[in-house]
Amino acid sequence: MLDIIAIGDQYQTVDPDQGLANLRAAATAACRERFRRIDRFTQMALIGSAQCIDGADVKHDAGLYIGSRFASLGNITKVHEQMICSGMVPKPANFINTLSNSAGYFVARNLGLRHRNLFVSRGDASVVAALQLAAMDIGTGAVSQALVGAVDEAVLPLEHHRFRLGLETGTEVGEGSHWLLVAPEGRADSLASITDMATLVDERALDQWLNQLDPATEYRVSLSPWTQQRMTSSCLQNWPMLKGFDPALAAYPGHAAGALIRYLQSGENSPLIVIAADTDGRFHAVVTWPKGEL
Amino acid sequence: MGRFKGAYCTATANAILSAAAAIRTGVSDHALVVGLETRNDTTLAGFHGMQLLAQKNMRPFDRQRDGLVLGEGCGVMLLSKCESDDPGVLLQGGASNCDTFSISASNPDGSTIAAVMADALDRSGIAPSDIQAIKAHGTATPLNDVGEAAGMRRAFDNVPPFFSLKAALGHTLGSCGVMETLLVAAALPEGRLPASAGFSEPDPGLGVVPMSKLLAVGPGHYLLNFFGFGGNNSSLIIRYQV
Repeated sequence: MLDIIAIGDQYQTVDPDQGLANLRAAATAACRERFRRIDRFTQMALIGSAQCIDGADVKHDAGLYIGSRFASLGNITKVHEQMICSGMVPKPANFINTLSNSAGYFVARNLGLRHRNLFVSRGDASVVAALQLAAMDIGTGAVSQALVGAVDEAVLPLEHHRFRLGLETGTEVGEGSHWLLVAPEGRADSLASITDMATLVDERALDQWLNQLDPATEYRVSLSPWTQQRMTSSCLQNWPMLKGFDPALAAYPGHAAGALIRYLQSGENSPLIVIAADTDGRFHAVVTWPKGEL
Repeated sequence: MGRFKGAYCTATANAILSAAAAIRTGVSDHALVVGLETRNDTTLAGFHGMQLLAQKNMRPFDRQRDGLVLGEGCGVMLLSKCESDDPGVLLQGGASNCDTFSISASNPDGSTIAAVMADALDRSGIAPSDIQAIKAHGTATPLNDVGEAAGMRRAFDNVPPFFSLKAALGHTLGSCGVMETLLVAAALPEGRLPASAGFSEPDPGLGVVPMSKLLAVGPGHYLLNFFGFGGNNSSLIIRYQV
């Protein structure tokens, strides 16, 4: 289906005492020019995407696909607080940055991409939606490669953010910008192959999908904390060939993408299944087979 | 699939392209594309802050144009696989690209807009001369109409008749891809396309003049343009046949 030919990301667990990490220096280092008035979400996208393509051969007609649950949530929150509390009209840059594809513009400009540039949102499974869009565009020949990112920022105060994400009180919160450069399958130099991406209408359909897996193959499985909260049972208990994979990431909507990259970096050889819940009760699964140690 | 969010004006034109890709690659037999945009204070204040709102009416490609009027609406489109000789309105192809000239305005030289139209024609297997008419994006902002006019002049030796629907609908932002495509698809079997609403005085600086009266049309290919913030450009090619 798709080969993964480069990966890169940026992640941090939010320290409740220290607040959010200042990303300005890292974003400046990642950029070929100085971008003014970019928000933190865009900074994260720029840092993660630059990490991914560092040294990679990116084709001129590569598409860019960003998945995120809330996009530039910090800026959106700030704009609305200023409008509602102070009656302020948004400054042009702040308004533009509320649009979900603004980060895509800056990433494209920074990396010299001029082709397809999409933003998509689908709960914790936004990265799966972005990968599915990329796979279809590669399948039709619209793009020859796809740079796919999952970017999700945390916003203070954390209790509000946990409430927004549907997380239990006290859950450790993270944020990340995780990127994959993918191409049509069959490359000798790929890091891994994505062999299946399934959209399952409910937990019963997920069970049926898991039931058709090869029982003789040991799979590692990653579930985000929020996805686990959405499940009534643990699929790991029902199928002996499924073993949990803990990527040591806190809770955030980009967990699925972070887990995939952590797994590839771990050097494990078993196939990985990332399962991510949507906000509408569906589940989305990605099966990835590593091709060897990194 | 997912939500193409963010009120960028190509959101549902891109969704149509992705829906077509889902059908072409066998992911889906049918695809439902929903374009929905509702009035909200944030968008209104944001466009006001950017000084993009018209004082009165929208006048796309008019010498006196001074901005846009926001609209709201919902359109729903069901795409299904068809045979190439099936009668009706068919989505023949399309393309999208990213103009990194500016996050809020198209390149006034029209190069990226010309490129997306040329790519859409190429992917549809047709020549510029096959296009009977163009549904322009036509936001009536001074800069964006300049970029679109320049793009049409670059892409076509002889610019086909073109019109904008936004002075009649308002700019429905994220839903305009579906809504304006549906309107064109509904107009073609009627045998006519509307004059470019809001237009009265040609702008010599644009080098092109939109339709000032109804255009009688028949079977053939039609190009639809959609451009948005973030440099997002999309062009669709539809074919009407009986």
